[in-house]
Amino acid sequence: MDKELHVTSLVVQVKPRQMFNVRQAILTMEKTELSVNDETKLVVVLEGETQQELLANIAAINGIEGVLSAAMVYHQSEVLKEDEK
Amino acid sequence: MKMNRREFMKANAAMTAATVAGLALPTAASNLITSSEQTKLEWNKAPCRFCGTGCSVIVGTRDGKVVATHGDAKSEVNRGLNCIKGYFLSKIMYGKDRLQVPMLRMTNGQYDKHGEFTPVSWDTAFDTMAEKWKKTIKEKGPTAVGMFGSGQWTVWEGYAASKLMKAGFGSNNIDPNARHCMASAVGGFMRTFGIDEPMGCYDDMEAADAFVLWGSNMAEMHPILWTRVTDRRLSAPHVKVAVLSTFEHRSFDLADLPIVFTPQTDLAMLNFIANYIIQNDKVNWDFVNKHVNFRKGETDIGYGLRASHPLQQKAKNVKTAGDSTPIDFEAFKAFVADYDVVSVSKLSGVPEHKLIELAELYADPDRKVTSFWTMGFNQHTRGVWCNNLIYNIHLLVGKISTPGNSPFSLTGQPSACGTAREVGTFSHRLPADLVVNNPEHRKIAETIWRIPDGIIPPKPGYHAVEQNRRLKDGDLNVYWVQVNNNMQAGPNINEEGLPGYRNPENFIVVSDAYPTVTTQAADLILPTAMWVEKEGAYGNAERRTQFWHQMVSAPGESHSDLWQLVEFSKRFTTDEVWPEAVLAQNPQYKGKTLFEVLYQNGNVDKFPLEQVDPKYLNDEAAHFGFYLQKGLFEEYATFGRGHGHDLADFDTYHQVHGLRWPVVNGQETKWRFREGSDPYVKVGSGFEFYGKPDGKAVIFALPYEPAAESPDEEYDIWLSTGRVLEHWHSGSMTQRVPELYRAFPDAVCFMHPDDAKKRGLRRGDEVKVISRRGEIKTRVETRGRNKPPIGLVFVPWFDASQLINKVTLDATDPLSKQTDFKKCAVKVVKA
Repeated sequence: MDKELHVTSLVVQVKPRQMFNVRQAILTMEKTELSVNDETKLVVVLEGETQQELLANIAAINGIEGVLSAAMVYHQSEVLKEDEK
Repeated sequence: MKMNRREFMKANAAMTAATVAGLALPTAASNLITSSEQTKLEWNKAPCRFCGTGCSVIVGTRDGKVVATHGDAKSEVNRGLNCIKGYFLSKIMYGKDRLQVPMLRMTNGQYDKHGEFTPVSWDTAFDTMAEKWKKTIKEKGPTAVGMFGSGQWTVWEGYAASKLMKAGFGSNNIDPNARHCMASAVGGFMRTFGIDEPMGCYDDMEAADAFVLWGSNMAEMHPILWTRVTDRRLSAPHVKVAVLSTFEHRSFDLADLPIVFTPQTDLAMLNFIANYIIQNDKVNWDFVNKHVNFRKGETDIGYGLRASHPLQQKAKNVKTAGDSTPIDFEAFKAFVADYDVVSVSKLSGVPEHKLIELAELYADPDRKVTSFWTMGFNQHTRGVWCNNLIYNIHLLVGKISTPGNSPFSLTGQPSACGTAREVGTFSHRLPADLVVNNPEHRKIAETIWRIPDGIIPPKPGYHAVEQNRRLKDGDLNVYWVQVNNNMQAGPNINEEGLPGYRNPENFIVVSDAYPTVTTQAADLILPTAMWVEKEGAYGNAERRTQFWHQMVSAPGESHSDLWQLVEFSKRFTTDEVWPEAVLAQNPQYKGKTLFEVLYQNGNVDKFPLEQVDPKYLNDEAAHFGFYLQKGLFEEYATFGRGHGHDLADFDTYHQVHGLRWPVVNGQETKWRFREGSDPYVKVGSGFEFYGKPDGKAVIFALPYEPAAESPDEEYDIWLSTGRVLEHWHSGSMTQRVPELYRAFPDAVCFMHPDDAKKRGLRRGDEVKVISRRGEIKTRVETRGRNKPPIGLVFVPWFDASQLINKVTLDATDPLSKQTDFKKCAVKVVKA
């Protein structure tokens, strides 16, 4: 069956001393990938089969100790064919 | 390497975000997205529909429907970012319960106030309305006609409405819901500077060394601006952030100096800072001597309640509330001397060392300070005073109108500035800061509008809260509400809201895109086009005017507010609404329709259809036969050009990503009142506050006075109301987006764990929040991101099933008439 694929990216602002911990916390989350970061900013890419799933993960990231803000940049949704990875 | 689609999307997403964050080589986000071959979308810019920040978003349409949005990387405001509300913009127009046909309360095919909502044609709707309007004007005169609009009106909608009311029906009873939001800020600007709106701009955020938030939860309410403040704080370690509030909220996460204070004592803290600056010899004498006057304001001015209320009767100076007398610096010094650190600490509950640290941020001559405030200051029975007092501080040290030195009033609605304030849709205002009670101002308006002398009434009309009172009392009988949900948003709705709407003498019309508490209280509902279903213009909090094109059609028989206003005007002739004496002197106007005299007046119908960009829809232009939006805008802009409010020409705004007024010779103005930055400032003056005749701003001596209602033995705890990030205003749009609704489904009562314990309550318990006026049921929340101190509870007001405004008090600032939604006394008991 065809299924939806939602992809979004966030710019997360982090207290510098907590960057390591925040990265570790995000690493344990499913369907969430770390991208580049500097001392205070971190790019995170999320995917999910529904927007609801994405939103739950964004809320979870917002709740991590040391996260000051998480703003969205990009969102794309597509319907993937059954045999597509 | 060959990428599959998933990998390609993720790579795109990562690269776009990295670019926005400044972590990779810059490439415009929009290019990336449009180059993605999977998305055959049409992309156009529009300012976000929600808050006053004015983020620009890129809107993707396919087959006549908005399907995607993303932050506009070319916008100076949001630089490619989007907050959670903006992220779901593409969904707000497609809620299942969207209104699509006019609905009139009817029984057996006839209008009946107690009837059921029944679908009718636009003709029936307008015929019924016109009959009620004409009967009312004939029997009771134009003061029985009223309109309630919004800072969500587009610029030309607010302008068309203002004309219809003030020049058409001859009634000043038009007010925007911005009265609940911005009126104190306007009052503060006019009183201190003589001209409305901030002198600085968002560029201040990258230049400031300190930020002070006075009653503003930017992290949740202006998240994109907050990312800029956060960026500045994290990238420059010397930068300090002070956050002041009556309860702890998300913005405290970034605070170097967190301050929770007792409600109303902000007045005393502001005076303490002025006192500290003087006592420590930190006054910028060069600035103060050249650019400042001192005045002492009237005190004991009441609480803007009904005249019969005991608090009003007790107040000595209700009638002269706005008066002031000149004083000198020494008198001001003596006045603030009472506000020493010991007594202010005791009053406010803020430790002395924190007060001193706060004052030092302003006093230190080497530190550039930006102050932000929103509803904490504005929704205050001394809101204008709060605004005056913060300007006092910035003026004493000369920290104003230079990059990073900025007393900055933020706004809540997308066009609170652009429409409500600049167009002047208030009951006392005309465009470009003109006022109805000034005969010269009325003359200017009547000349530009090409209408005879004597049409605009000199007496200010009923303001927002007064409108509800007058509806209840039967003085206001026909009433049209557009783009807002006042039956949920207005204060004390049990006693002062609903009775007026359901008063059998009254006929209430509500234009909206969705059913709301207000449409339910109406007699006629008009289905309304929203956002990119029409061509529009908004003005944000930094004086930036932004335009958008119509991108899609509205569903069913919906029409924009603009179409409704202008079409309705065709049903009246001047003989039915204008004074006979005026018509006798100006017979050429006799028998003309209001449409002809207001909108076919040679100005508004000046631009032909051919000037509409053929790439875009424009339902209004097509219907009326001329470029209506352009005509309205250009006539409106006449008011401000050459008078410090200059707007660029209409077509320019469709090209650029907004411009900050005054726009003179094609150049926008980032900082007003400073030589070299503002073209209106005379050479050699350094600074000039040209809103005042002598070019000087005013420092006001104004005291701390207590709140209208404080906790006592029975009603033993403060109630503050406000918003949460996921919902904007009353939730009438955001609650249509399931994802947003699920993120924060129902309002709760945030409470300190000790206060809960004291009342035998546990987290999640059902409780009643009760005031002298009404009560609601909700649940206790002792955790979460809002953490009140002992003695205060916070209840968000977006939830239509828990109308907290049944509980709030309709006390207003006597100067601005803005309601204080932040303070009243309640008790909380187990339900």
